[in-house]
Amino acid sequence: MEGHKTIQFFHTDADKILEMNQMSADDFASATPDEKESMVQMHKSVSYWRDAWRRFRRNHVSMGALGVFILILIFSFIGPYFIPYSYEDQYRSAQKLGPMQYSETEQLVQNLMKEGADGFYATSLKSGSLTAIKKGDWYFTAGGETYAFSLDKGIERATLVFDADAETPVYVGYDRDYDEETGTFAEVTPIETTNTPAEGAQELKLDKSVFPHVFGTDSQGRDLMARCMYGARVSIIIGVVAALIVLVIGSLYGSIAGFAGGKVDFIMMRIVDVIYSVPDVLIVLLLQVVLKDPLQAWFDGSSNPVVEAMSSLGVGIVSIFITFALLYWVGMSRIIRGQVLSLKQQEYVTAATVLGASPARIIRRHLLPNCVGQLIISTCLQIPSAIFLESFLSYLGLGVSAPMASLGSLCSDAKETFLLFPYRLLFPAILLSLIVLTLNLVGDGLRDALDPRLKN
Amino acid sequence: MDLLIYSLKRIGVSIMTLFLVAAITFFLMNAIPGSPFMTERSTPEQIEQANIKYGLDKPVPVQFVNYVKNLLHGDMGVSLKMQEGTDVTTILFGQGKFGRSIRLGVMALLVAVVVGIPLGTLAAYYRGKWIDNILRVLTTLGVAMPSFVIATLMLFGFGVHLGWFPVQSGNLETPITYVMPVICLAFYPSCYIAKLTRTSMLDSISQDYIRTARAKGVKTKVILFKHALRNSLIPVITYLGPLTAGIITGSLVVEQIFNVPGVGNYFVSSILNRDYPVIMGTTILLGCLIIIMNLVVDIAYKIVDPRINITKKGN
Repeated sequence: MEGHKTIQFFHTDADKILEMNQMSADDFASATPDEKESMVQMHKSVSYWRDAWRRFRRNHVSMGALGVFILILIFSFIGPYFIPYSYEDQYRSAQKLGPMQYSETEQLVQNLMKEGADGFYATSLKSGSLTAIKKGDWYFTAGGETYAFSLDKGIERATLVFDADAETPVYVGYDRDYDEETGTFAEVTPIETTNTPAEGAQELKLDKSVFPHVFGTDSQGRDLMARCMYGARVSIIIGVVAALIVLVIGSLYGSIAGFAGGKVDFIMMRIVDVIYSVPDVLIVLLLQVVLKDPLQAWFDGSSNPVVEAMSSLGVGIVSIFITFALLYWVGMSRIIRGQVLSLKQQEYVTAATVLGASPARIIRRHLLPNCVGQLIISTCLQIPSAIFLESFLSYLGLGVSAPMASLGSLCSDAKETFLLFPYRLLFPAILLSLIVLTLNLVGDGLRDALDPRLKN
Repeated sequence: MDLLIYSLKRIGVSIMTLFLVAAITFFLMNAIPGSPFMTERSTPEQIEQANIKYGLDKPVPVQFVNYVKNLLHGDMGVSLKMQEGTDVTTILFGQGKFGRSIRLGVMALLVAVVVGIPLGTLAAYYRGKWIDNILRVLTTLGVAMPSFVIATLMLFGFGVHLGWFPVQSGNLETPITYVMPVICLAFYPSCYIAKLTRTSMLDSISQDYIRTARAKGVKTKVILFKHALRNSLIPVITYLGPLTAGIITGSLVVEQIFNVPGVGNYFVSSILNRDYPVIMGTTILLGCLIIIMNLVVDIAYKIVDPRINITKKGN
């Protein structure tokens, strides 16, 4: 009987329906352009990322930490291009300098510049233990003019000074002849110059000023700031690569376990349980010892470009990566499994399954992209913990090996002379703590921004 | 009943982990090419003799079975380099190394709990006030500073500069020698516990039973310290497992810096000297400690909070 009524309802004519709903035929006219425009959404819909960024920006602590971290990145990655010192060069006469201190030679040339010299080339200020201007033909340009000269024997432990106003514009003063009281050389050797360089003459780059050793130097005369920049770079790269390794292994393992479910999940998660309770630092130390020789042999024996790239990193760093790949992914895999377990109940996963998508495709295209917040948070928090572990290992004398340096190994180098030169430990230690601190704070901020449910 | 099944399961996993640690340690050590007796002076005959003497001429699986058998009898082999010919068991236990490390570790654990929990409670109580802000800055800094930095700074500040505490703790004969190593070991965990307590206090304050207590007219302080604190200590208990691991890790550095002849210090030197039996023995000993502590904590967790149904699969 119900059905009959419905049919009757549809059979009533259109006018009656309009009347019933108090509508006129005009209501069905197509919209004018004005009306259309007023219906257009004035605001763009807020995307997940925009929303997260808005939340993150409001978090002043995390924003500040991000700013500091970016400054550290600039310091360690771009900084080296702006200082004349390199991390491995030993500068003669500049050993054991305190922060902002000048060596004798640096003092000397600064005085010379004050006296009116226009440029200098101090052999003692160049890197390496025995630098000299070798014998042969040389030239340099200054003030639009070219000065060429030739040397019958090399100059060592001396400064070549250029003073355009002097009688002999180019002269050489030996360090031993320098008198600190008067600030001049007791004796100088003038050098004859011509305007046209001889065939095959080499160009000499004159210095105009001395760059200070902002953090001081170490016992071998290496600039500590250059070393800190380099060490921070190595530490950050190790942290990021280790976190990426954890990301790849952890997310794949976790999503496969979560998606497969049942027995597969059970077995995979018991494996995770066991690895989780393995005392990681002990095994890491063990691996550092054990992997050294086989890895070295592998590096020496192979000509594969990938292996060569790894061997340039050194055994210590590669074994850190291996330990992360073996032990540290379990935390990430647990988180991702939990996410996948709830996500796979969603309709779009069912739809994809019905359409015949393979499990691999579902994991790749549907499940992992929806865990992206979790992935970013865990990866970001993994970086400082990797840096922490690396510095710990390097401090114990494992991990990064010379000539490479990380912040941990810089601290380790400084520990013997800590009582005499505390700043050698303080600078890398402060930098290390700042990196770990800011990354932790940024990670916390990201967690609040990307996953508001977790906020406490 | 649930508890019993859960405990048995956990014990099963722990035994498997212990076995895994022993196996990993053993096979890794055997994967190193060359004999541990290889030195510049030793002749092939000497190496062979030494190999036969220490049973290294047998196939690796047989050696492993023998090692586990000996291990169960408390025999961890003989040191090859650092104290040549001495039993590893004697080195670790007989010379007071284990005792010193345990004393330091337990004291650090106590200090971490005794300092961390009140600080966390204080921060939660004064949430948003200046005390909370100061504590938050301090604890965040504390978890970002590596233990070797803290140890060296303390050594310099309180040991050398102010001269309050001895620079070298040595055999830990007087109480004052404990102060700096214990503080260094407890620094990170107490900051972490403070953070943890604050978070879980704030979490439990928003629970229904707190509202009930408030509605009944219970005093704020009683609510905080009796109702809220007790329940918020549960996450702290779960942290005690990782905390043990953390203190053991820290002891490797701290014992070295303060020159305490303990297990951690000896472990690091054995690694640098490549004294394999000592490395193996120490790894297994420290691994056992961590695994057993994790087991105890997990079972205690279940007993303390019966609401948690851990046996249930998944979430």
